Amino acid sequence: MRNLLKIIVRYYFFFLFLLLEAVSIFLVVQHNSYHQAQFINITRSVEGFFYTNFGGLREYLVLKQTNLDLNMENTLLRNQLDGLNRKMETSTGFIYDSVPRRQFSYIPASVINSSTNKQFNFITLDKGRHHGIEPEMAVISAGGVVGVVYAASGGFSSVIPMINRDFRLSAKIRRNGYFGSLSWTGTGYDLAILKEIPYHVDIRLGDTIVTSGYSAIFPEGIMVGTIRDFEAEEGNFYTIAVTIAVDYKNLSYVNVIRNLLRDEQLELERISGND
Amino acid sequence: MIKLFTRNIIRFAVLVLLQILVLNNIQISGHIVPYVYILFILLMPFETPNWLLLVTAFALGLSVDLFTQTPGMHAAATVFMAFVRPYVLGLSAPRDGYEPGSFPRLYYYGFKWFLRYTVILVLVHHFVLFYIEVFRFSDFFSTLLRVLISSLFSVILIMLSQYFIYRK
Repeated sequence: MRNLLKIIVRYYFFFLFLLLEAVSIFLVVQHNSYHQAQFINITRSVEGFFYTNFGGLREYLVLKQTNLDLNMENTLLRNQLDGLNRKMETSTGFIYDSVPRRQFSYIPASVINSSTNKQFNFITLDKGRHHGIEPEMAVISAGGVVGVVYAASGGFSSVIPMINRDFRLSAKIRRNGYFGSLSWTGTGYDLAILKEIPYHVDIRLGDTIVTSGYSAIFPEGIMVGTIRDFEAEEGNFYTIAVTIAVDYKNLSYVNVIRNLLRDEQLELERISGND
Repeated sequence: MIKLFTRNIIRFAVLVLLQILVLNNIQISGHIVPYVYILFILLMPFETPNWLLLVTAFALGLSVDLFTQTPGMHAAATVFMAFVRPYVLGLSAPRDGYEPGSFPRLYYYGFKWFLRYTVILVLVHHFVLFYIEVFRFSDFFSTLLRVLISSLFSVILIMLSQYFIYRK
């Protein structure tokens, strides 16, 4: 025993090194197991407070581009509104319910911190549980899909963007409706990979990829990106390179989507054992 | 002594802030980031006890981690780098040892010595950092390439900082 202590005292440098390294690795691994959000929540609150000021400055610098985007989105919405109005005027169908049920409600939020250069990127929003944001809600911007809320503290929430190696999304080709699984390979903030599209499907460069709506998170038909390149993989599936529609380097305003019927859908799927 | 202490505290704060507010936003061709905050470990005095070296390195890494949502990653890399530092210093010591009252800086030991010292430690740090980040060896060479390119930019910035700030 005394010899052991002697050795530890003698080589304390090495043992201290091992100890600190072990603590670090423990932190890394703990962070990777995605269920321990508590630690993150605490640091997120501190960090959110800190970045709010800095994010304000950044928002100011990209104000012109943001205005342009907003303007374009307004135009788009106005066009849609007009179309819908016309449809309502001309339709002679029955109205079953005087209060139409909404499935999705949108919560506006600003990005106060984001990373694009790591393998596991994150985005921090300035709204949190107090504003109705909960984990597993979809996040979109004017450009398209941004990511999924991963943890929310009182005033802030953190989002796993599409450019995170743990992100998975069910997406489909808009033109013909075939769907596959979208993920990120960690090479560049504007490139994702769509897999599991069968070999016989007709694919063209530039085809639009949208969300499939087969999860209880994203509504159907939200822009994801366009096909940049594709090749036939071993087996009977294509591997498709997708140019991500959202520019993660220039992201200020987003909408968090709350699925009001999510619990209902999950409950039904649970009962019918259709996971 | 007190002066040395406060100077190091200020250097710590300035380097961490510089890293998280400025350098983390400079991304050369997508995802290559220079990590200059490790300059703090490079510049710690020769007489620093080894345990203090490790503990400050851990604190330094952890404070950068706190702001990049990567708990433990930078800490692991900086602790490893601090562990290697005494051996690198021992290997590259001048014939009659380091003069008392001097610091591991370009000003005291010249360009060649400081460059070698910096390159070795920056490579060690970046190597550990990038491989812990991907946490797998499947993309070994693409990660290695990122290590080398990021190291290049970090070394250039660290060498430049010696001329701009510590000219005396």
